Amino acid sequence: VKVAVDQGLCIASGECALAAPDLFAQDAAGIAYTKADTVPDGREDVAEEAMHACPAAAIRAER
Amino acid sequence: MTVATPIPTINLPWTDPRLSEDPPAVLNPIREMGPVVLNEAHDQYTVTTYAGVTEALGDGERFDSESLRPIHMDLFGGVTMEMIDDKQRHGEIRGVWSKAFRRDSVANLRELTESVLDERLTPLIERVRAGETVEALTTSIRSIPTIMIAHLLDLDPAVHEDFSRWSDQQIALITGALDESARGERLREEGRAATRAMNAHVAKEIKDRQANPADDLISMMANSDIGLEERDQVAGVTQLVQAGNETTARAMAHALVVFAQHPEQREMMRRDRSLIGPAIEELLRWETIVQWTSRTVVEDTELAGVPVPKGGVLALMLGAANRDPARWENPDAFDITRPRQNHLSFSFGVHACLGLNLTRLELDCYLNRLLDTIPEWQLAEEPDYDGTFLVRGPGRVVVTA
Repeated sequence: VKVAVDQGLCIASGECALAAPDLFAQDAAGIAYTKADTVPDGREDVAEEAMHACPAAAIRAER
Repeated sequence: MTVATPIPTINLPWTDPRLSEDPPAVLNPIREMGPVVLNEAHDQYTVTTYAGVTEALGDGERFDSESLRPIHMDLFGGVTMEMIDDKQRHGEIRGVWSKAFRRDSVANLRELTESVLDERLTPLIERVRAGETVEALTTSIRSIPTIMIAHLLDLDPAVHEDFSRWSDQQIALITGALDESARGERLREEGRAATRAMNAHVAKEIKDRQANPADDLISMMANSDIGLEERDQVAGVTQLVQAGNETTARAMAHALVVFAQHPEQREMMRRDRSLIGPAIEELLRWETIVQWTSRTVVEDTELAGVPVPKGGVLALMLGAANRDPARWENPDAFDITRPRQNHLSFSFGVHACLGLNLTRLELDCYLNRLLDTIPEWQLAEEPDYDGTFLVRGPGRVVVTA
């Protein structure tokens, strides 16, 4: 599974980094980014949870 | 040796009526002076660019919420999560309701929203269709978000009207918040009385839900296990009521005005309902409701490359940032077909609006209904922005079919 953050939509709520700190982080201005483009095996559910938790619908995942 | 450029200054009371009438006319020229100017009328470092405002709101370590404390104590009678800048603690408090406000949870509230619109909007629509000219805000729209929240709190319908009235009276706190004159103090006292009344009722409800927990938002707060004092639990609930009410009602009022003024875009939206989502975002960007928010500078630092001193108070002009030409092409044009990107009408950072997707849902159902029933509504009077700025919107919207 690949995940990506649309930074133009990101509102820096930090929900993704809270839900999946191993997959998402925030820069100094709070904008989220992915730690790796591909989700490690076994972490797909957590990635999906982070995607749902994003209030701005800024996270996309594709298989 | 570099010589610091002096920071540009302005002298603009936030109560200046030009700010409520036409904010960009006043704020666009100020943005052109630089990303940060000192407003001597309030001694506030005034930030007008998208980059500058998001830099401040996105970094709670350098810019904290202290400057909002007096307004918050007045409005809610306690400390709410909006005042907590520590990420861990803020996350714990926000966690009480964050699941309930997730996009997937909010999507389940469509039926409830439709039933509230049946009760509160349909009478207005029927009158307009019958040929009447009706003031929409006070007769209908104002109560819609309040009743929505009342349902989510599972309040007895017998107290819905009390909640609606207290919430209306608390508006005086918002109107008075940026007014440092005696009039401002009078308004704030009027609003504090409403907060006391609402808080007394909420405190009773919290006690009741501790004894009889259910799955409503008050029960979640009353039974949260995060060590919140009762005063702050009450303040949290009162904030929830307040935060979504006046703002959402004003968005509905703006929608009546803006789409009547842009009938060709309204017709596009009527024919293609997939444009409603983007149209809501453009409406919120173009007529930003919360025009001003604030932070305090924690240590001497730079913001948007401009030095700002420890203890300095920032005025973060969300509406001005939403018209920043560095982010939007032709920013003063209303255009529902713009490429989608974030605006600041729900603020930004950890304190971004918890209820943003509920607001979007309410506006989506509301616009669909208007387009289904009175798709060519018109304004019978020019809108009057009623001296509002902190939470800006028309005070009356008189519509006709």
